[in-house]
Amino acid sequence: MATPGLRAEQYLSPETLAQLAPFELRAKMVADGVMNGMHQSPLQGMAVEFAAHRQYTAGDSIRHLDWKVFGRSDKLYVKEYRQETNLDVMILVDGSASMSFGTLGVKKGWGGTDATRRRGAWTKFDHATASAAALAFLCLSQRDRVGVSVGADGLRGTVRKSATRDQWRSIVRCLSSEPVEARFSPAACINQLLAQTSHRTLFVILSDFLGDPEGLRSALARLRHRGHDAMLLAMLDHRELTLDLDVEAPFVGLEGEDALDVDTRTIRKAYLEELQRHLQLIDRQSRAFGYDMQAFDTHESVGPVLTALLSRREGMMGGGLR
Amino acid sequence: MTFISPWLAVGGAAAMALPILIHLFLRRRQKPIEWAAMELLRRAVQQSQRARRVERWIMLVLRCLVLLLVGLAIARPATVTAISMNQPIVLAVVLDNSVASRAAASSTMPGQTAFEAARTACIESIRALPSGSVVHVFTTSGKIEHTKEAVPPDRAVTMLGALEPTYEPSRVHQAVDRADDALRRMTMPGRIVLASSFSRGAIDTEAQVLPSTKATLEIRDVGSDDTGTTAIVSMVQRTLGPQSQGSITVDVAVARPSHDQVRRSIPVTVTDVLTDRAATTDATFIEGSQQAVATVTLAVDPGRTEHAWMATIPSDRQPADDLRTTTISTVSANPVLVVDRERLDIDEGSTAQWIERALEPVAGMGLAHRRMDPSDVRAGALKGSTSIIICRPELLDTAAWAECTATCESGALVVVVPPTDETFVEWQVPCAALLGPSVTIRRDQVNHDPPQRLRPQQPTSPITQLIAAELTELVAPIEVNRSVVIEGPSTTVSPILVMDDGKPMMVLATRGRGVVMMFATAPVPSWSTLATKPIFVPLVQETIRQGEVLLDAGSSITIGLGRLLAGTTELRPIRGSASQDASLTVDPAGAIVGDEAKPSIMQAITTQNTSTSSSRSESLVALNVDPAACDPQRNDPARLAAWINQTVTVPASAVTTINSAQSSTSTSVWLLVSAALVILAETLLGRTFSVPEPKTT
Repeated sequence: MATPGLRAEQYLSPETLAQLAPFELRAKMVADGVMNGMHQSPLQGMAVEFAAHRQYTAGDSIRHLDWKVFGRSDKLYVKEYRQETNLDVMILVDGSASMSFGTLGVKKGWGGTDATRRRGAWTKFDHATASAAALAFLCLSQRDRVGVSVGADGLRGTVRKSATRDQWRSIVRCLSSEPVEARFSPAACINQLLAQTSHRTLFVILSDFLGDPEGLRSALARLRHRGHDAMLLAMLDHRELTLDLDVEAPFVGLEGEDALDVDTRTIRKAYLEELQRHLQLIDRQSRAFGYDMQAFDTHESVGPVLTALLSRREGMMGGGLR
Repeated sequence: MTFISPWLAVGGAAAMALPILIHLFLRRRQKPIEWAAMELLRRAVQQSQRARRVERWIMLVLRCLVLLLVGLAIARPATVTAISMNQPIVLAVVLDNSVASRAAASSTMPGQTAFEAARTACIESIRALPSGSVVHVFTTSGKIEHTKEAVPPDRAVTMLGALEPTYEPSRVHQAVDRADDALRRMTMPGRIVLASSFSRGAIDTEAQVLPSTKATLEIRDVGSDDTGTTAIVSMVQRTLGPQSQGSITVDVAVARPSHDQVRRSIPVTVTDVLTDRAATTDATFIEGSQQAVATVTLAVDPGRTEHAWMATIPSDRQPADDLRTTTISTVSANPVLVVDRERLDIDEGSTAQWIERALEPVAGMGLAHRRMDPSDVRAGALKGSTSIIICRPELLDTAAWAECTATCESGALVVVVPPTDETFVEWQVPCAALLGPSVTIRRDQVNHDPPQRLRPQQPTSPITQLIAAELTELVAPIEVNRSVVIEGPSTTVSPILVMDDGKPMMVLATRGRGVVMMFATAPVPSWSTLATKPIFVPLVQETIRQGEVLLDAGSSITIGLGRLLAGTTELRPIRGSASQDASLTVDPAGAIVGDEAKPSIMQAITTQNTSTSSSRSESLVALNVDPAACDPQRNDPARLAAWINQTVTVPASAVTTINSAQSSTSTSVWLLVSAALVILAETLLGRTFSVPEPKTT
């Protein structure tokens, strides 16, 4: 738990998280922060059976009549129950080369993934894994089944859903991988995951979504078709969001794109417009399927954004990740 | 269009490359940047980079333009404009009539002085004026403004024809300034024609600044390219005894402006301005030397006692003002008074006889003299005498000593020789009193056995200055058997000749405006061998001549070299028109008051002092102009160009019309304003082109 009197956000900044080497500790910190940040609408009772009363209509089973209400009010009300099953959560982390981008400097001796150490910066992959670990920790702490996959052009590592005690270690081991030199193909990854999924599952996809939107749309359509739920967490570096560079230099793509001579001063406006357009497209696509999408600035703390996302989702779905 | 400083314009043009080079350099230095959102970047580039590139080039061009405009502005553009032949204008001619304009003009105008050539150039400019034009006439020296109002061209030509070169320094700054003022008062367009030799004497590029003028300034250069002018530095007359009778030897020191490694001889002419007799000798500069001396021997009329010498360098290139005229001492009109009693001394001759023989070695040649008996020396008896030689001091009574003292104090030379006869009269006391306070003369004569000789190295004295070179040789044979001892503070008496034992053989003292000299030994064989040695004649003659020079009322005044009378002296030209009568004011320090240098041989009429017995009726003076003002050498072209605020080389005899300094300044100001506007435009464009700070998504 967070130290009383301290705001959880303080512990959730990327700088802080980067210094927390073990994933577990990092995830606990984020989870505690999320819990503290949501104290107005705590997650207790996420698994209660009763859902609501409604008036009896012909054809309803009298097994669910609330007789106590009938005794008091002489009216027939039927109790409605929610199916009391565990939530299945599948977290898919984009491990493509573009996720190794980061501009927030970290110091020697800090924790983080191999990507962090290699690049000397807090990468989008770091932010994605930190967020994924926090979500997984939340789920496990609620005894929900959670699995994690790291994928690029296909799944590179998968931990199947489980709520066992050993699941956390498996998840951490999986997330400790580093981005590969490949492009992210959400359709391919989702296809592979769907092949392993039988129950209704919440898919949490953490990626920069800088690839082809059509591929993402196809993947989301398949998820919708199977009746799964999804959350899209777009990890973007602060510099990607602002292009706060005044240089004229060749830009080299991390995923093998050709070099491009760019004067950032002259194209900044157009770039930002393109970025906005792209993010809005992703958002529209996700909303079209009833899914939620949230952009993360990797220079910002994980907690507040995650809290905001979960609160919004609770409002939409009636509680927590459900 | 031309530029005051074209190199700055070139620099501005070269500076245009700077932004481009910086651009290329920075571009080359950029390392590749890894980026994830390459697709977005590519689309953004496709959208805007092309347009932005055009904008960037516009910015680059604007920056280059700023540098170019600033460079051009600093270079100060000037427009070479053709002289309008149709529009009436006001022409202000500024004619250089300074002393330096007396130098020869350029070789394209042979036989003309710079003044004449400049005047011709001015007249040419006036003749070329369109009808209806008017003219102002200005000169750089003397009276600067010759026209109160603008006059018709014909009248201006007439006025120019009447002008003469002055002997004064150039005041070109004031002249152009006045011309500028005159043009400003006029409504018609104006033009200034500055015609000059542009020599260093005419225009001092170190000190003078060309005033700003709104008019067009036309430079008419008539100067010569000759830089080998030589100037006379000093002139000294030798007076060396009998050999100078019938002829005078004059040493004229000349200097050339540089230590040329060329051996060069220049002729020097010395003229007696009273008789117009002249002689010419070459002064030869050896390699690397700056000075040379010409020794000129000139026949003189023994009957004349007054001479005025003028040295000239008869060279075409020599400016008339640089004829460094100098008057050498003139012989006094009054005979030397020898105070002695006539007596027959068969054995060795009297002191007076030896001295008179030295004064006039050949009858009719030398210094005129007159004998006076000591008993005749009474009050007023010495009036009119310049030089008095007292050979029998023991015969003078108190009244006679008083008369001698008064005469001396009023400006006379008194020479005392000790008496050769045994006497009990205490002549030593009044004689010592005449020499000055604290001076004593021992009563007892000193007999020297063996005889005393004179020191080979004698003290420096104005009396022996002309024979100083041969003095060691001349004093060597002198033997002194008997002498008197003269003692006194060095502040009162200064030795002229000194014996081996350190005692003076001849002393000099000043008394009022006069000079007193005394021999310690008598020029008779029983006392010394002085009278029989070669030194005696020049020594006696120099004693009189140089002694008189030392007098305040001396007969020779050489301005700039000698002592001047305090007060105002009337001047009368010896040569030239009578209209040149002038006066000369000298302050007590001997300096000429005011700008009154008058270059000619003048006769100075000194004020008669009726309260004393002295009378100095006439003196000859030679007046020089300021040598700095008559430097005929060409100005350094670069300095001259900088002086006239433009870099257009001013060729000899060429007409160059350029816009004035102010015109070019205004153009420069406009260019700077343009540059500022371009910077503003660049800033505004840059602000338009720049992308606002992005907001975090």
